Amino acid sequence: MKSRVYQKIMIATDGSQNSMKAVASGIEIAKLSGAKVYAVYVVDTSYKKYLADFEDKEKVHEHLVNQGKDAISHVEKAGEMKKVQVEPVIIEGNPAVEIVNYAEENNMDMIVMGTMGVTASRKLSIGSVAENVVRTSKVQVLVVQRYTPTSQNNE
Amino acid sequence: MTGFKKIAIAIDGSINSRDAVDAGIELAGVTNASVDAIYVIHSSLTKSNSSSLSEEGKKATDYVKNEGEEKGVDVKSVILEGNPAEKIIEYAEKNDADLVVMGTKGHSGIKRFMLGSVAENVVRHSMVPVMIVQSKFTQPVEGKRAGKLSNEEMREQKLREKREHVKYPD
Repeated sequence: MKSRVYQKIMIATDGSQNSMKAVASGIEIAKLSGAKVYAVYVVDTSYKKYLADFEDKEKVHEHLVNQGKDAISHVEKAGEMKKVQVEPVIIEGNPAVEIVNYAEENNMDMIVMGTMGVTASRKLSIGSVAENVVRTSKVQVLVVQRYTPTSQNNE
Repeated sequence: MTGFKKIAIAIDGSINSRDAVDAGIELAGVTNASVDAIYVIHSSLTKSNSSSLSEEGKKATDYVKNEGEEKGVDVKSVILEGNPAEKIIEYAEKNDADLVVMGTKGHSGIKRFMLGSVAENVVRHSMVPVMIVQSKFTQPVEGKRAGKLSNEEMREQKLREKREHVKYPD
């Protein structure tokens, strides 16, 4: 069944293990509803506050952009396997703010995201980026947690 | 395989849940899943007026049933008692739901940062994926900030904010 409601699905990824389940869920929903996927990675520019040296900044920036490319290519591969069209998007700034802005400005019908890797606390299953997105987004947000009974088996 | 076989839609009696119901039913239709419509009667309220609350619960879950029927989605009513966030999580995990869908109040300005406490607790503690749907009814006028609204728009805005407590019409 094709969906009139879900045409544009945004998958926000940081390439971490935590995002992988979210990527799979997002691609699945897109396939079933005939939607296009926007794979979004935000280069977190908060490092600029902590690094004084220009060269260090350049290195960190390059590292993050590469990480973003890897994260997005993972989504593209997953999309290819399921014949879902994937549009790669790399933006810079505060991840939660940029994810919400991008989704609202580009009329996304849904944001799918994992509890992002680096900052996700082990005890609470939601990370701060996901929490801030859920709090501020007008677009519906699907949060895919890391600790599910099925994923525990794989760990 | 990440298929969605069972989707739990958590609702309260307010009009805020409606967008969540729409989204949940749509998703269930697309993924061919069945729906459990969950209404939780808050434990602190059960003693005082439990019969009117279970009536409200029935009305709310019936609304989901009707919406489901229109889209050919199988809906089961579930009315529980206790702490809403706890019960929703417990139900979803015990009954192997693949997804919980629930609404929250949409706000503008500073209020925009306030997520309903039930939704916040569920999204924080659930092991099951959770979809949070902001209510359209309480969202600010598209593309405008509160300061720039005309009087008429402002009135409409206020009305919209008040509507968050409106119950389902009969």
